This record gives sequence, C-alpha cells and structure tokens, in this order.
Amino acid sequence: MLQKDVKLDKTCKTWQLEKHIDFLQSFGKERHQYESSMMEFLRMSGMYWGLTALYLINDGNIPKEDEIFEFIKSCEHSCGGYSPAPGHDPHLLYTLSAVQISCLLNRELELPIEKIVSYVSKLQKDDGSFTGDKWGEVDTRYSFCALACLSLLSKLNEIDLAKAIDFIKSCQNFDGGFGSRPGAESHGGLIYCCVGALSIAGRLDLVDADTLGWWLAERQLPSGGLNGRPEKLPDVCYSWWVFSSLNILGRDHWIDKDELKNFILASQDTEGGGFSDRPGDEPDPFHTLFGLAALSLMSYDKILPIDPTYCMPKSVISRLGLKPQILSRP
Amino acid sequence: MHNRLKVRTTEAQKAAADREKEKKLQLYRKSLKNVFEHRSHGDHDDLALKSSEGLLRSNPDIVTLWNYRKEILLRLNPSKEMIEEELYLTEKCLQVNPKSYSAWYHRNWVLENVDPNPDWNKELLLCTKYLKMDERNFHCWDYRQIVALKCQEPHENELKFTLEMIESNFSNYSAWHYRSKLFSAAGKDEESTKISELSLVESAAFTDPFDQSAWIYQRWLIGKLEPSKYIYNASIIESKIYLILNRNLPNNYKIIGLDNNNWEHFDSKIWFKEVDCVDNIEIKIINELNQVEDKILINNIRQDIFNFIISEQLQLVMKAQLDSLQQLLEMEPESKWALLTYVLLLYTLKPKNYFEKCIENLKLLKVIDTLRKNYYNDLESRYRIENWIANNNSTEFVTLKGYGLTAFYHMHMFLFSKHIDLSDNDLSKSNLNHFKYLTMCKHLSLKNCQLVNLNNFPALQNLEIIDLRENQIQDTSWEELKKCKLLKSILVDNKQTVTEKILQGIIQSININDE
Repeated sequence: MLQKDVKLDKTCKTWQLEKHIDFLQSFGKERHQYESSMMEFLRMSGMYWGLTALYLINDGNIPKEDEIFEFIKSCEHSCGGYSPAPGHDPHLLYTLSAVQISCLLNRELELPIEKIVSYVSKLQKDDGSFTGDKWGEVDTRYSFCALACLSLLSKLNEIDLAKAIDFIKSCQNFDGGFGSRPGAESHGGLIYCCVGALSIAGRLDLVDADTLGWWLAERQLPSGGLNGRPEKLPDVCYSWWVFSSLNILGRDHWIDKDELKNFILASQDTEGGGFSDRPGDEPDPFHTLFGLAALSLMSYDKILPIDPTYCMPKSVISRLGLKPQILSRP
Repeated sequence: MHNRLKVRTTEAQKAAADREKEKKLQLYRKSLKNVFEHRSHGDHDDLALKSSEGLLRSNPDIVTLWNYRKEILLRLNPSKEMIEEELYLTEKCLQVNPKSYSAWYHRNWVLENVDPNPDWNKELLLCTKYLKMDERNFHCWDYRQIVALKCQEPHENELKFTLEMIESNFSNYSAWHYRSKLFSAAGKDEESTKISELSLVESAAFTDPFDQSAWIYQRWLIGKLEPSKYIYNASIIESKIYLILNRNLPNNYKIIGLDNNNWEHFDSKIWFKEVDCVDNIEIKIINELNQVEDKILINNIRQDIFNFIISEQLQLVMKAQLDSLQQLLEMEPESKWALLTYVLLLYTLKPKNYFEKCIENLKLLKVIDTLRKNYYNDLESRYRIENWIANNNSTEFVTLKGYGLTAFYHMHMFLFSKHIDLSDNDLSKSNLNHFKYLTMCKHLSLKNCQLVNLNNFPALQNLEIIDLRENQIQDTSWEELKKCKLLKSILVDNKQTVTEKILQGIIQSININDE
C-alpha cells in the first residue's frame, strides 16, 4: 500500500506576510461575504481564529476593537453563555472564543465574569466531564474549553478540578493518546484538548510522555506535514494540534521542524494570502491561524510568540499571570 | 474548510459563480430567518419542524437548528413515524457530512430522549453499514461503542466485527484501537490474549510492512510488559533510609517495613525516612489489595531492574517473531517498522549481544527515518543509561563519558552517586534541571558537552568540583552555580572566555583550574 500523503512542488513558496495580513483583514468583507455568511453558525470562533492570527503577524494590532467587543456583547445570553452569532444558541465553544477575544483586546474584566463562571460550572457532570451546552453532548473538547475559559478568568477553582482530571484520564488509550470520550480512538485534535487541559491543571504527570510523544512524532509524513491519525492525509491544522502537544510534552524535537515549516509554507495561498488545509486548496481563517501558530512555535520570521497551551499570544498569557505547565526534554 | 481545491477560473466563470453564490446566500438567509421567526413565535408544531429540514440537509452543523428540533420534539410527543422521519433526516445529513458532530449527537439524543422503544440493534447494523463505507470514521466507531453497550452486544461479537474489518483491510487503526478497548473491558486473560493478538498482528504487519496501524498495536502488545519489580535500590545514608523506584509509586500503593508511616518523598520515585538502627530489614511495596508487589532487603541494588519477566510460552512466540522479522528484513532491509519492532523485541527479550544489535539498528533507523532521528537519539540514550545500570553494582562512580547522550533518563537512580562523568556528550539542548537528583554528587564532569549556558542548573548541595572545560558558556549564566553552596572548584580552560571576576563572584575560595 502506498502511504497517504501529498506531494509538494520542488520550489519552496516564499513567505507572504503582507498578503496574509490583507487576507485576514478582508475576511468578513465583500471578498469573502459568501463564506463568512454561510459560516455564521460558528462566527465567534471564526473571529477568534482570524483576530489571533492577525495579532500574531500584525504586531499585536487589531483593528476596530470597539466594534468587535460590541459583537461579543451582542452574543451574550442571560445564562452566561455566548452564541456564535446573534440569534443562535449559547455553547461552550463560543463562550471560550468570546473570552479569548476579550483577553486579546485586554477587556476581559468588562465581561460578566460571575455569570460566565456559573454557565461553565453548571455544564460539569458528576463524572467530571463537561457537556457543550444544556443538551448534553459530552466530549473532551469541552473539558478543554471549560478549563481554558475559567483559567483565563482566574476562576479555575469554581469547578471540581480533580474530577475533571479523572475524566480526562479515563479517555486515555493504549497508544498514550486521548479520544473524545472513554473508549474513543486517539485523535490529534482531542489529544491537544486533553494535553492542554492537563497543562492548565498542572497534571501532565498523568501523560505517558514517551509513548504519546512517539505516536505524535509518527504523525509526520514524508511531505513534512502532520496528520491527526495513522494512515490519514496531512493537514495544516494538525501542524498545531500535534506540534503544540509535542511542544507541551517537551518532545517537539522528535519531528523534523524544517520539513514541517516547508509543508506549512507550501499551504499558503500566494495570490490572496491565507493558508489552506493542504497545498492547492482554498484558504480560510481556521487554517491560517493554525499554520501561523505552528510557525510561531518554531520562531519563524516576525510572528509574535504563541502560547502552546492556550493558542493565544504569549504576551497575553503572561499579562494574565498564567503559567501553564510544560514538560522539559527528556 | 477541508478538501476544497482552489480552481482557476476565467472572469466570466467567476461572475457566473458569484451570481450562483449570491442566489444561494439569499435563499440561505431567507430560510434561516424563517426558522428563527417560528422559534421566536414559540411554534412547536410540525410546520416549525419542517422549516429547518432543508437548511440542515445542506449544512448539518448548524447546532441551533438541531436544538430547536429537540425543543419541538420534546413538546410534541411525537408519533413513531415522526421519530422515524427524524432519524431518517440525521441519516441524510450524515451522508452530506459523515463527520458532523451535531448530526451524530442528534441521532443519539433522539433515541435516548424521545424514542420510547429505541431499536439499538438496528443502530448497530447502521454502524456496520457506515463503517463498511468509511472504515475510519471515528464518529461512527465512537457511536458504535455507545450502541453496543445499549444493546448489550457481547464483546465476542464486537471482537469478531473488528476482526472482519481488519481482515478486509489490515490498515484499520480504528479497529485495532477498538480491540485494545474490548480486551480491557472483557478482562481477558492477558497472557493468552497477548499470544493470539501477536500472531494476528504479525500476519497483518507482514502483509503490508509499510502500514503503521498493526505495528503500533504490536508495539503496545510488547510494551505492555512492565518490569515486574519496583525497587531499584534501598540504602541507608546518614541515618536515613532511601528507596529508589524505577517508576512512580501508584497513589493507592503503600510501603511497609520499619513502621509504615512517615515516608516522605522527593518525587514519587524517591522515598525516604529517618531510621535509628536497622539490620536486615525487609521493605515491601503492597498494592491496594494488600498484596506484595515487590520486596527487598536493605542495602541492596538491583542491576536487573529493567528486565522483564516473560512466561516461556510468550517467549517462544516473541522469539519466533524475532526470527520472522529477521527474514523480513533480509527481503526489505529498509522497512522502518520491521526494523524498529526488531529493536523493541530484542530489547524486551535481551538475548546475547542484544545491546550491540539494538544500538547498531538504531543507527540504521536514524538514516532511513531521518524525520525522527532525534527520537532515535533519545531512545539510544535511554538504552545506554539502562545498560550502564545493568552492568554496575554500585552507582558511587558513574561514567557515561562519550555515550552520545542527548537525553537524561533515570537520573534519579544516581541519587547516591558521588562522582559523575558525563563528559563528551551533547547537552546543548538539554534541560540541566535533570541533574536535580544528583544531590549527593561531589564531583561532576560536564567537559566538552557543547554547553552554551548553565540555565536551570539545580542547587546541588554537595557539589564541590565541576568540570566545565571545552564548552562555550555565556558569561551571564554562570550565576546559576552560586546555588551550589559547597562548590570549591570550577575547571575551565582557554576556550572558555569567562572572566576570573565572574568566577570569583560565584565561589568564595576560588580555585580556578586552567589546565
């Protein structure tokens, strides 16, 4: 069987800083009206992706800060949760995004913190897991959302942290990775969520760093790109999920960073800016953030440093006085 | 947006596409407005239910629409037909996007919350059907586990299903994963399971030596063997007894012998307590059921701490695998997975000359799998340190000189060391905090270790002499050594530009050696 992978052009694509800034600033405007409208149901997260990416490559500058904060306010619900856009229902995913954007804007203290804390803590179940909203879907993604959200607001003590950790541990698999629920298969994105949550909680001792680190290193394909599960195609977003997990575990030297950089750069849209999932596809803010964030973690060009646990600028995380746990190299 | 190829278009094509998009967008907005209007009017009828169908069929990820449907269904007390229709809608949506979290969840929710007689057996068949279409859809595999539990499907049947999936295509990591879970859940006899799984995995791996699924599963089967012993060393030093373990002591385990209380710990691998007089006392580690996991007489060191206890039967199977891997490697010398598994098996079985063979093959792996060469470097470092430990009956003098070490495993096992020679290794990227365990060390050599700084160097309270010759350490980081209060002598040389003034600031009675 041939290995699933993509082939990169021989010539390396040049770094398109200005075009990426342009791409991110124009998203939501006329040029991307259609995509942006069709994706309204996840707009709050879309804004977090776009604005964080812009912050990283635009010297920490975000345009129209007031307008953005107004949008966040317009998505606030009386229960304390946030919806992706007005008219939609609140959900933990968008509540985290709203808090993250507010932190970027240095305006998190203007949020109704008590209400947000109450919303998030009510979503915790007896077994320590979190549901995404009141309808009851359990997933380790939501464990990360809850821990990240509350720690950004310095309210981590408002939930049963020990139980939250027990639940994450119950999702650990034979390969050292984590899935969405107990019994579920390991997956790069969910591994990031679980490792990230344990990093926030300072409990990385629960991870078998050598076993998981090796499995994550095996995600790198000959093209240099990373996949999320064995025998899958590479995707720029795993450059973040997998690489940041390796970084948190102190084992990011177990893959070839130069080859990964090449793959990410090859996934740029050299015409209109932005990054796509893999070379030749349509770019979008999601892959643009995760491509840039991974490059930042590898100290590329003038991209501002990113925090591997929160996927937010390091400067913001230190302003908040947060010190997520990172393991050292073996 | 995943898998959306960017296509080049002419101006005319683009204009046409834009018009098409505009039309779609208008329709989308109109439909969404319509649903939201129903909702704001508090409509909970069939018409309201119908209003979101079209939108969901084209975009099953709009969670709010599913939520509204849930509200309606809870109010309506739906008929059997309506429930059927709801399930049919989720099926249609999953055909549009088989990875839609919200469509999968809605289906599960309907069956658990609205359907008075959910047919979980039918769901199991549906999962089988979907998995035959897309054998790696993890949403479906995860859902299958929920369903199998609901209809109390015997583990045997599920194991049989995974086997069918694997036999139709060995490259099915999801199925291998599920097997690992089923075995744990079934509480199957470890030994016989391992033997039968090893032979299954062998045929898979040999069919396609370049597919990683089976190999990763095999590594787990081999790696599941844990060294049976916990205690590496139990010694008394200056009226304290120390216990050095090879891995963390689980929370619910206890140390007994002497009296059972007051054991303190450095981390969960190093335990100690004050003692008065002790002769021939036996220390035991007991598990939560009060069974003895390990025991040792005081003042003993276990060189064989990294050995595995493997039954004869399992040894036979593993040895046979070693032979077949050797054959495979003769045909496919560049098969990375065969090579790596060969190394792992050698290291587990430890036959004659295993160590040399492991190192030799790790070198080869670094060449054929260059992406991960640093992983192999670190693995080699671990093997070398373990080999040193296996060959020495005392850790007072530790010599790991010129081992090409890049990683520092088991440093805690050198707690009692007084002289440690780590010269001629590459520590340029290492975290020097790993040396925090060397609290009894008096003489440490880091000569020619490509050090550029001393960041994170720990406070070693007994360190008297440190050899730092042949490094390029920046002036600013020498301060770190101030934490070592007994430090008397720092060896430097001409290559090191550090000024005498800096060094004088660090140690009181300076004794700078410039040989």
